[in-house]
Amino acid sequence: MTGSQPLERLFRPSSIAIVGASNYTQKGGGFLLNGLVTNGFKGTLYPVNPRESEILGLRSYSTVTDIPGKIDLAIIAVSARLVPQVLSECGQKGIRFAVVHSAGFAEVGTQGEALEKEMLDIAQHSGIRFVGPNCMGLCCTEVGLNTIRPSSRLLDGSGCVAFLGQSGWVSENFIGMGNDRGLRFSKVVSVGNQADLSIEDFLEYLGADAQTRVIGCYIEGVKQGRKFMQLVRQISPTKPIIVWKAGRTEAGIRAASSHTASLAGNSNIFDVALSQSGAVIAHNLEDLIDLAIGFTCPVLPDGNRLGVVVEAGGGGVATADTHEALGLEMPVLSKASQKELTNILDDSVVALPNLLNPVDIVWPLNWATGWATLKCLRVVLKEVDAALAIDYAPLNERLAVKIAALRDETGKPIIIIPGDSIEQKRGMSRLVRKGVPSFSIPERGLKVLAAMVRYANGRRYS
Amino acid sequence: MNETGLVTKQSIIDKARAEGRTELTEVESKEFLKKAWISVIDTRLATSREKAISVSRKLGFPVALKITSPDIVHKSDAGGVKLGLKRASQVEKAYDDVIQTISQRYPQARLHGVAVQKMARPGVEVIIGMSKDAQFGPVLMFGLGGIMVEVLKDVSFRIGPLAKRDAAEMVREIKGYPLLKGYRGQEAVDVSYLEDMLLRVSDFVGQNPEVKELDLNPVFAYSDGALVVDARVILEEGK
Repeated sequence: MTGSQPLERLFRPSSIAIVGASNYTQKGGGFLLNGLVTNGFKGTLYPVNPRESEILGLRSYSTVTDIPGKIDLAIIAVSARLVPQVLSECGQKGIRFAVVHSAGFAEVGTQGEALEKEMLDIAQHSGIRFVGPNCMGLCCTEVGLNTIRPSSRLLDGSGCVAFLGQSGWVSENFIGMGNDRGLRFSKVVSVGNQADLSIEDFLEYLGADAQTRVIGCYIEGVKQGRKFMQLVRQISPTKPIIVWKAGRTEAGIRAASSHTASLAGNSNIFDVALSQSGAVIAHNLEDLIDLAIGFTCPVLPDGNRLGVVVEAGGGGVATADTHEALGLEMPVLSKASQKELTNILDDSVVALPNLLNPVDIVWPLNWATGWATLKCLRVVLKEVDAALAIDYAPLNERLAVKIAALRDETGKPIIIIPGDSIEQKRGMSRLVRKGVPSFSIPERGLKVLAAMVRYANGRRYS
Repeated sequence: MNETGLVTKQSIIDKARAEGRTELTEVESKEFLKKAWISVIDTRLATSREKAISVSRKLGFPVALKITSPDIVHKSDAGGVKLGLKRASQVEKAYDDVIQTISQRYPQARLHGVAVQKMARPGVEVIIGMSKDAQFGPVLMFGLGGIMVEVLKDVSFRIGPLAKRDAAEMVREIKGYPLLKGYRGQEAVDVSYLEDMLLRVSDFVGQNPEVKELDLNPVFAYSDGALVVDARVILEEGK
């Protein structure tokens, strides 16, 4: 996939011109520039604004053509009607990439469409590839490029999750909420109107991007359905692609006269295309984040057998109730394992509990360390493909390291549900950062695990 | 259309185009599908009472008669279908009835004649179809036929062309799959034959981009094969 290499400088520019920058940091160019400054962009920043000489402590230029050095990327945040002129100046300056933040194009009707067409013509004529218009732009955590959610603690270590969003709101919140849950990102793109660069182009790039291991997408519609499917089919066996498709299929099935066509018109053909090409389907933002958390686990389940260790009877019942409908199995543990569990728990539990699966260890006396759960998990994991534990222990660094080590030793995913998810919110994101998926309730964990099982299965056959 | 078997795919399409039709008749649709090695019940066009009787004898009783007109889509509702005819005399009467009923009710309808087919032996009714999606192109459909498709919409879809695995999943994905595997003493149907039929339909669609929509409804599935009993092919608008 060498074809994606041409986008390298878009994501890793060594210099950026911010056209329409200002000292007002709440919106527009000032907001974007401020984001680049506070995220510690590793390169040179050139504000462009004819009415200012200095912006946020940086020298400001009247036009991009006045800037002395070479520019890799222009971020354009001026009124829509000025964009064609700015783009043509970027062309003169030899700039190859732009992010057009400005709104007021095809999304507002015929006049905007004409303006978008004009902009596209100029870009093509000048050899500029651009993101947008009407978008929040990009994140590339490695170089401190973040115009999507400048306030987020996005750069606390680069991650492996990439995201493509056909909505600024979804992109911002995927980053914000995801980051809060422990997700870390490689590249994020808010694609906007996709006048030039499209979801298909970015997907191709991310497929080849070494830092990206998991790809999340929010899609309202694609321009090249079959190319999109082909890319998903090509990339998904090595990198899971999680897609939340909102809205009905754009143009949908054409006027129907057959039975088949009327049935197809009432179904979600996009979801059919997604699952057929190996994508993982999400149904809303939280689902998308949950699944991304699951797939950052470095190992996949080899089968659908689930082992459950709980300190919370109710959680155990909830797990047992849910697993079957999701296609998971909870096998009864062998006599040998039950004996091992009895030996572990003998002195520390009040009354010897149910050891069949779920293993209900009730409330071991030295509960705070989580050791009983860990020891039981080690036994249970011998007979299943993945495990889920509900535990009251504080999810501190020491325990997190031990759980991750047990996962690596067994090569099987371990999902942790804290007894108190409000208290353990930070602990949960600590686990997620170590590739141990953690959720507030067991049902969410099981749903994600079921998706991991399906993905791993599909990959074996492709 | 003639009975010599010398009908070509192009002649079927040309005839429809010349008449300004995008919808093929049942007889034309079945002829077209047969060219793609899809197993279709033998159906011949009779343009006279005598022809209907001789075709019936050739195919073997009992037979079904169906009006063949590009202007009549819902043949049963129009009174244009007679089933289970066991003797020449019944065929004769049915032919006259059908022609008379349709001529009275739809004086404007163009009549090609009457399609004669052998009554298919009963099987599990399924539907196979294709329509085109604006973003993804041909979409294939599979489901249980009759009431299952009409009321419960128990169908599965895949974007064409189908891989073997797609066909296998389509058949297994429907809720009514257990009915295909034999239920309350019913014999299981030949599922792999249905998968093969789906793949053939997928090939047919790939080779004939001028086909816009397709309904094979019903297809009778048996323990030893499957047979398309009724078919509708709809063409793209002519150029």
